[in-house]
Amino acid sequence: MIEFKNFSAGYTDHFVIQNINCRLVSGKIYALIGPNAAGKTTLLRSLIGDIPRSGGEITIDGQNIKLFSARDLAKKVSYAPPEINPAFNYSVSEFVTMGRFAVNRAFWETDEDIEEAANALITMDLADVADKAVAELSSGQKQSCLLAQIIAKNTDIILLDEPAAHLDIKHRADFFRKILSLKKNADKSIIITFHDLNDAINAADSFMLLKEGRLTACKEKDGITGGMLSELYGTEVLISEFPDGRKAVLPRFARAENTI
Amino acid sequence: MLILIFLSALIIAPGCSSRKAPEGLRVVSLSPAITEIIYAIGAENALYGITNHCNWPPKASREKESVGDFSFPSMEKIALIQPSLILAAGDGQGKAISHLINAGYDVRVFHPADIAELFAHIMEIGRILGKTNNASELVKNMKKEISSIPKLKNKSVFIEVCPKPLIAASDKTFLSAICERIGLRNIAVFQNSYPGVNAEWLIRKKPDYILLTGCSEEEFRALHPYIKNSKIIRPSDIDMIVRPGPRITRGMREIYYLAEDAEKKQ
Amino acid sequence: MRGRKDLLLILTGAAIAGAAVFCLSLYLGPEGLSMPGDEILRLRIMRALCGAGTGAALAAAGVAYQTVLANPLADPYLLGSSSGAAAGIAALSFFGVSRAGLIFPLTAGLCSCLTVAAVLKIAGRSFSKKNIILSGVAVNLFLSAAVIFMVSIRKKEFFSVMYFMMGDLGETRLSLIAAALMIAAAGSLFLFAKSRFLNALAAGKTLSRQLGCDWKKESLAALAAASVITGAAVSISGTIGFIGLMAPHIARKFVGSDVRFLMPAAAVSGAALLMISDFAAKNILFPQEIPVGVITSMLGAPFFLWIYKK
Repeated sequence: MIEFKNFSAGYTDHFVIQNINCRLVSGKIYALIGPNAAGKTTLLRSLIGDIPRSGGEITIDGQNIKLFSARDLAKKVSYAPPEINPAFNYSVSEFVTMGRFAVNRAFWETDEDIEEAANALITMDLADVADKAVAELSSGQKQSCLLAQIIAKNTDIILLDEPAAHLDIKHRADFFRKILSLKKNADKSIIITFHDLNDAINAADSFMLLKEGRLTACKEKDGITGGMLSELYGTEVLISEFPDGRKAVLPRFARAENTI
Repeated sequence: MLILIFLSALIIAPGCSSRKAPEGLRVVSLSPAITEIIYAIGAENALYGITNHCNWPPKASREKESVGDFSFPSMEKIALIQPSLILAAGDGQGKAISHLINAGYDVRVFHPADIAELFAHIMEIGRILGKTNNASELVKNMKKEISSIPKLKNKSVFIEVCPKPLIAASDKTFLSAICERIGLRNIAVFQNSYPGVNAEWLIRKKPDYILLTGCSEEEFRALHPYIKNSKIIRPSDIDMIVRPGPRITRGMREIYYLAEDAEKKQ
Repeated sequence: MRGRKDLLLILTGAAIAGAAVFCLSLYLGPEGLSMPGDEILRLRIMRALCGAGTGAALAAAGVAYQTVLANPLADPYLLGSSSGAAAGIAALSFFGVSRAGLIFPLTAGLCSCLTVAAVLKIAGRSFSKKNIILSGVAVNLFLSAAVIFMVSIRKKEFFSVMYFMMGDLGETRLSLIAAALMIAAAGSLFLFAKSRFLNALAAGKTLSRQLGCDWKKESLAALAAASVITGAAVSISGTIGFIGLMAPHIARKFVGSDVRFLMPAAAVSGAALLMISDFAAKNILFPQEIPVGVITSMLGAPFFLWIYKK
């Protein structure tokens, strides 16, 4: 369980996020949404201690993360950035196995480390490209690598920063299918920032609405209305539901003369 | 403020240019060897500027104003002295000399390749400075002195200029010429005057002598512990052997006796 | 995944290759392969020792700089680390400290640490590739000017300092070589032991954090170790450019980027590269000698551009 208490963070010149208060439970996918520059990435990176805290606190299972060492925090929380551009030719299997570094820091990996990494590669369909360099992969495969590394790490909390930003519709579907099964099988709390609200409304269980660094709402999916999203983004948005339960979030492009 | 500077420049500038050129010769020597020659022929009254390196005779640096470094003299200092003639050594002064020539000064370069040329240069300097008799007297004495120095027989020498990196004075240098004159053949035959050379080559060439001019014997032995087959000689005053001037005869004599002593010690 | 056995294999291969180049540099002279005399052999052993030690040290430092900064262009020379060390040594000589024992390599190491700190500070928080190299170049120019300034005051050592700035493997004083190589070896072993930390740091600040690596602490430690190694290398051989850039890239082609395998492979590549460059420097114009840094820069500058364009 993650709890934010009056949490503020950011660099000294200005606070990027302010007075966040909310409680996140395990076994759920949270969609962190809001306009550009609302502070979504900052909020995620605060959870891995990558952004200087300026007030309040975050607790994980009741313990203040300020008191965690880098390694202990990494054993609880994983984070994947929107994209990676590796500087060197690390192979996919090397990259994924690195996830075990948080668990075992000896000079050589144990058999368990190697097994976990191999399983993660299989889960993410990367076994075929295990010996390729990460830098040579497609955006979708890079995102899979990041997730495989996180699966190899096996933490309770997973933070994904716009994971689908560079994926086409098929890879997006595959990717979120895997996230959903991860949630179901392993009882993780997963926080994802979304660019595309259609993905958010179909994948997430709960929503965190962030505007100008403040959390304006933290609600179950069913509590989210078109009106709330319209206000959050400052443009008219409609949520519609299809007979099979899927939902769509639609902005209005054309000027709607009739309704006014 | 700016106007003030401009005005004062206007007032001062004509004053500068109208100052009358001085009577007689005003010589600046850019070479310690030439300074020694000028003093030796008693022409120092015409000498108005020397370099930081001109330390002989000792009174020179007290009496005469310095224009700075040997290779990079101060152009402003020289301009203030307003010399009618500048005497330079040439080696390592190329840039300064071309600047001076471009600035319209009368520059004469004396860069003797051997002792005969040195004598000719002393005569020429004497002629320019109106001390022909003194100059020929000096040359006569030096010739007599040199002819009294015995010659070594068929010996080879390596002339060190810098120990690390190892740099030699090649056969194109004056230093090499004076060694030749006392029977020391220079093993460093190169196109350029001061080439960096390989220590292996020096070991293999096995010169009879290594003449040090850039460091002490102790230093050389510490830096080159594997060079053992040559006798090392180090003159007490390096200036006497590297300056093509009146003291060269004493330098040559010292090299000869050092070499002979080293031979006897063997 | 590769493990102990692969490291052993790489180490064996590297040792054989390194030993081959070492032996070749002892018996190969301007007249071809031959058995040199006792004195010449000793001279060549010293020179090969200097070359191998300096090359390996610069390569190890290069691996650390590149990995920690996640920057394929980083190198002790381009980061200003070498110039910092050279300026420290020039200052010591300027104040007449005699060149012996530990004081030279240690002072050089300290100055090199300070220089790298300054370069990174100037480059700014983002550590962008180009910023680091540009501020490195600026600091380099400043320090070279400072060295020339010191030389101008003491005219006598002009040649020595010029060669020092261009690299020279003619050092023969065993005590100095031993002291410097010991420091470099200790630093390299420290970095090698930290291999997996370096791997994590290569992923960048945010990812290394999620891997459980205290980014600030670990990168400072690794950069300091790399700078001390550089200082030790410079204290015997002067500033030799681009070995720390080329060797890691060459080694990466063979063993990949995992620092556990890369570090030893790069060290041997660096040693071999410098011994070969020195062979060229000694023999191209034999018996005239050119500073070995001239050769490495002639190879390294195009290499740098190639990496930069890639």
